[in-house]
Amino acid sequence: MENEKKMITLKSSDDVTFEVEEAVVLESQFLSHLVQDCPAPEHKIKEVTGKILSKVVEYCEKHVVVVVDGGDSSSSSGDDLKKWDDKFIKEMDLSTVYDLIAAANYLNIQALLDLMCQRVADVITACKDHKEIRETLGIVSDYTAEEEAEVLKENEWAFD
Amino acid sequence: MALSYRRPCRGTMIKRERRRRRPEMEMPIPMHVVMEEILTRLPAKSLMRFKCVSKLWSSLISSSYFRDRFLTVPTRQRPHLFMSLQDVNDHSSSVTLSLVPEANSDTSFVVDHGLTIPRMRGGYICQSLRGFMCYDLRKKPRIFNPATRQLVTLPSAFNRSTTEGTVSYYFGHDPVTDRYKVVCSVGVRLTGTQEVRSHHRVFVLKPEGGGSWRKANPLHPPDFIPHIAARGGVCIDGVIYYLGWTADDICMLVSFGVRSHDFKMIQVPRAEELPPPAEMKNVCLVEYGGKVTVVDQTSLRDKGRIDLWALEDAANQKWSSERLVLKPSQLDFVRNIEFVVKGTSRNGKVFLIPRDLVSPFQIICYDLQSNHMIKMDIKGVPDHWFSKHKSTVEVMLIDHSETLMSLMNT
Repeated sequence: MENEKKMITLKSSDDVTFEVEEAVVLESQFLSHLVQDCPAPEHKIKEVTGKILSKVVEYCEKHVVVVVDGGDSSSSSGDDLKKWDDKFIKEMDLSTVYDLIAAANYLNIQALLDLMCQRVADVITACKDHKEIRETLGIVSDYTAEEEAEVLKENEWAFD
Repeated sequence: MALSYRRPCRGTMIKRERRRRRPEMEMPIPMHVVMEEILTRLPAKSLMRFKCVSKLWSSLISSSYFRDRFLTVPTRQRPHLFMSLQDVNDHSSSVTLSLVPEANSDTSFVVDHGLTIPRMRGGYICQSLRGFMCYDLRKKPRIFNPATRQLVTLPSAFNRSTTEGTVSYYFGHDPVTDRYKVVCSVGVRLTGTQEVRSHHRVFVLKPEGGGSWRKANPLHPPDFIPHIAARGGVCIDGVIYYLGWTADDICMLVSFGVRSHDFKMIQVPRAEELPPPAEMKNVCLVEYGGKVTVVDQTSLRDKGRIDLWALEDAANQKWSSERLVLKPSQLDFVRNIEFVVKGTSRNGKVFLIPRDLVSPFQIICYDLQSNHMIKMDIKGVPDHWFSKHKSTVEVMLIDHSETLMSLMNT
């Protein structure tokens, strides 16, 4: 323990603070640039709430690249991480998923963005028809009854 | 909610519906994230459902921007097979079946009746090209998009009643102009002199529909020798390739520049100990490692050997060769059945399809890199097909991105 790990404090829009290791912050392209360009001990992220930032921090802490002494990286770590991701996402409602997509996009954390977008895509794929998609995603239809009948007929096969 | 889009005039951002008692900041998800990160992950079938959700989403999904994005995203779809079954005695009962990998199995495909298209009735499956399946049926070339179910049927290139000889169609795409074209080659060997004559026509697919067959550029030796074309070509980087046999039974690789319309021919090399000429049924073309590759299976059944000739440099006629010898334990796979080599998957596997419809029907997936064969079971083909006296089978693997591209207005 010669080198004390460098800690950085992140502050959310609603002033919730998170103290994390620098390595965790580096998972985000946006934050790693911010930390390099302005070496302050505390960074306020005005665009992200405490609730969402806590999720982001949780994800990054889990995914931070761990270099084990002697370079031994266990082969099951990939599987474990996938299991952890599955559990992480299963417990989340769609509204949180949307917030995380916006946050991951803003903070530029590609892996988190991928994970969340896949979740939304899976939800849409699971929808049996257009009505269910509307309901799930809160989309308001702008088709007239005739137009809707026509477009449904054209794409009839997709509803088998 | 994130994907609700109340008024298009809000520009490029998707605004979330404000929820009551939701104290959080409202940061919208940018439109490009929705388009590129979410919608491109959907299978085409879900996208077609999505089109019915609202006009706005329909126009976004139909935009050329989105189509291009969709095509370039690596597919998350599993490969599927098309199987064309033809009853030689009764063409009207021919069918084209669609097969998908069986759940929880890496070694079997099962017929998906929900995906089988009644409009498609057999035919010779020529090519899989950028998500399209190309086949010819009753002398007419047809292009089918399994993702959108659009089927384009082109007119016959030559007058059916007056044209003799072997008619073959090849499909190509030019990445520079983004144009699709179809080439037709008709070759005939005159009975008296054994002389070979061949004619070629080209059809340019126009997005607005219409179009007609045009004679190919005037062709002269030595660049061009009349030939009988073998069915089944490949298109790589804007060049269509197929194999043709000249009057002297020499096997040539014919190339056609989709943009330039230029034909060129190169002689296909052959292993020294193999007697010429190469028989048409024993050689075929595949795309392997991004190169056009001739697969010669003349010695497959008795010696378990396959010769590969990859075209390294067309201008200087340079080939590289590779000889694969099957593992002794896998010789039995190929000893008693005649196969047609057809199609490569993205990861360098070729498929060996039995020439005849035998039960149980198994195709072989041959990984050229590891020189390992896997038998794949084909399940769900209706029993009556196996009891027919004369039925033919064609199988084609579609292993490329689904495409939302529409070839022309139908």
